[in-house]
Amino acid sequence: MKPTCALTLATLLSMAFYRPAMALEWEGLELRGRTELAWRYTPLRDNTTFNPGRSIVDRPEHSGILGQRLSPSYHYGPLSLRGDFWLQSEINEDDHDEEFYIQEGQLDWYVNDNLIFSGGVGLQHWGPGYIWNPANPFQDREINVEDRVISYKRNGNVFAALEWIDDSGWSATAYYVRHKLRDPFYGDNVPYENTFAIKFNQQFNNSDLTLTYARQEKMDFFGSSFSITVGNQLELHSELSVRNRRFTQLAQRVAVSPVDDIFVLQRNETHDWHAQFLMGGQYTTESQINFIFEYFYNGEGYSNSEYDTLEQGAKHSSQQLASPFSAAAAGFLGNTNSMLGRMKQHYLFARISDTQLADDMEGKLFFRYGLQDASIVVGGLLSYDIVDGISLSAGGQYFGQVSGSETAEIPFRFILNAGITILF
Amino acid sequence: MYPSVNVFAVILLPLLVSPSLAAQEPAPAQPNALELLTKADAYRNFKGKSFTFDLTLNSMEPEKDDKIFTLNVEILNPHTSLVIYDQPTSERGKALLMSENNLWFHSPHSRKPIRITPQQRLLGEASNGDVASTDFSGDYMPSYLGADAIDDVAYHKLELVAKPDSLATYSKLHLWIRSDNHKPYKADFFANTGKLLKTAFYQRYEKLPYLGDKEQLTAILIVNPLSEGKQTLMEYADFQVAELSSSRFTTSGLRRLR
Repeated sequence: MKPTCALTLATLLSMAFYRPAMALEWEGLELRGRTELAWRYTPLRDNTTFNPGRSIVDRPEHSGILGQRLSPSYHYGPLSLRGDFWLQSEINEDDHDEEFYIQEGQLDWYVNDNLIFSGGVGLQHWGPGYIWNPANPFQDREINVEDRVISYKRNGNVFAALEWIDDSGWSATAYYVRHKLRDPFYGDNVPYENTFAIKFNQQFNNSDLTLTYARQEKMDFFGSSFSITVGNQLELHSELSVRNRRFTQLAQRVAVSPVDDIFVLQRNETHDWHAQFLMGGQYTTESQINFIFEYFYNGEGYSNSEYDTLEQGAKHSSQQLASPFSAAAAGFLGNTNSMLGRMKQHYLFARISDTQLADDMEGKLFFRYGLQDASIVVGGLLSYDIVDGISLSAGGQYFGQVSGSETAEIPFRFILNAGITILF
Repeated sequence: MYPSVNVFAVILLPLLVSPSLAAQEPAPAQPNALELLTKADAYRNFKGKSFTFDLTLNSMEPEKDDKIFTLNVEILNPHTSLVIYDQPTSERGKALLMSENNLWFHSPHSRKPIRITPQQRLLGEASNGDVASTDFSGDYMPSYLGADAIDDVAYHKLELVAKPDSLATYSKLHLWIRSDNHKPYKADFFANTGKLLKTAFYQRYEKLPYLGDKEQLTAILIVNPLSEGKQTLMEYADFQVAELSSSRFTTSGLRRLR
């Protein structure tokens, strides 16, 4: 059976068997699921520095996405097994693409009240930052993975962890993770590396502090995060990390003959220290409107001069698309397009959400501003429960067009999504 | 402007409360507010033991369908509790952890627990504190306001003020406790501004035969005075005194709940 057929069948079955309040439970075994059926509209910009005349990125503007999540879990005494799997099909007028993701497939063994062993495949996420977690050595490729119509999916890491939870409020966890760096500007061909980490967390009366040290091949990482509740409406948080390896791909001019040169992306693997940090907070009004505000700095991102060189490389490569070096030029432009969006260093983020915007409709509006180049991303999400377990949602992102900003170079003008989600 | 002083009151007051007069009619000793509050709290918990219960919340609004939530609640100690959402389907698997004055919320759909504030309401008119906390004495300092009578029943009226740096959802509340058996009867909850936010009626008490006939509070009605007809009924069932593992009551434990 083709994956698309299997996915369609799974979706139809989940709809057919869907009953409000239905729980699939049997003798410690539980199965939950989520079906997403969505439409995506991504109108392309006609011409950008990195995508001249749509010569690099030119894809159908409409696509359909069908996703099926299955999350089984089984509990037996001190053992629990948990899985989290996604099957997704993206279909457009030209093509279809099926992906299967194992986000989680792990065993937890509660050795005693204080000691827990976990191992298998899993996602290692922590940190109080809303859109990004620089204090986590296993941070993700994407930021703001929450405010989406279509869930963000990816494969988990192979890992093993041993956690000690002390009764006095602190905990320590040792990790082994087969991990690869995922930021877009590291490029796609990043190798998996063995990473060992230790995380220490201390909880105080109304705050908590986390310290992390990680050793990846050729890299030391130190991270810390702190969050605190102030009064009954305000929360403040911060994250900071430093690492002694920069993995960012930078544009470099390479001579290929006495008279010709091309631009390539090469990692500048220097071993000096780079910092990343985030600070922010959230405030909730008496009428339950929630505000989040954050500033973040990515020391591995592009400086203005590095970005200028990248732009030069794009212009140079555009002129070479009809030359004998067209393959190299197209490769350079293709890679740079996938890096655009969050490749600089200084950003501000704000979000406002109202869980009862109108009747039972939930609304979120967010705004991200790049301090270096006035880049702008404005997005929103509306969701409404038709009945228990079935919801409609619509949302999107608009990329600002301020001249010279990175968001003006994103090949899409905006992204719109609308879909239906079924839970069981 | 200085506060005005009634000259006659200044002159006469010492006479009115002179030792000779006071000795004739000794004022009854004022009840100990903390003792009263501890006795009232005993209807909501199990004297320092960890316990679990099921909680059904029915959130009601005029001209709208009722919203019913069922929750499994685990109380490790007065400052540590875990609320796991069971129904409706859209909420299943979500969890709220209260630990000291920290509140975390976790959804199976998101990737990590997030710190939330007591102000953030997750369930109708009931605040997180209404659901996750089962005693007042941990978060509030009581003082005795006086005796009161409602429908010919005698009550003690206490004022509870949030302890500094506590996770108390409300800055102040007034609590009526029956004089004869110390059962909480109702409470008015106030915002920082002094505005009345909600009133809770402690409606039903039941004996638990499987727990030595202990009498337990099993229903609370929370009424929003600012919006007529908006109310939430919280019904408690299946209380169990149980040994609970402290490892469940951590942020990493939240991720393993699903």
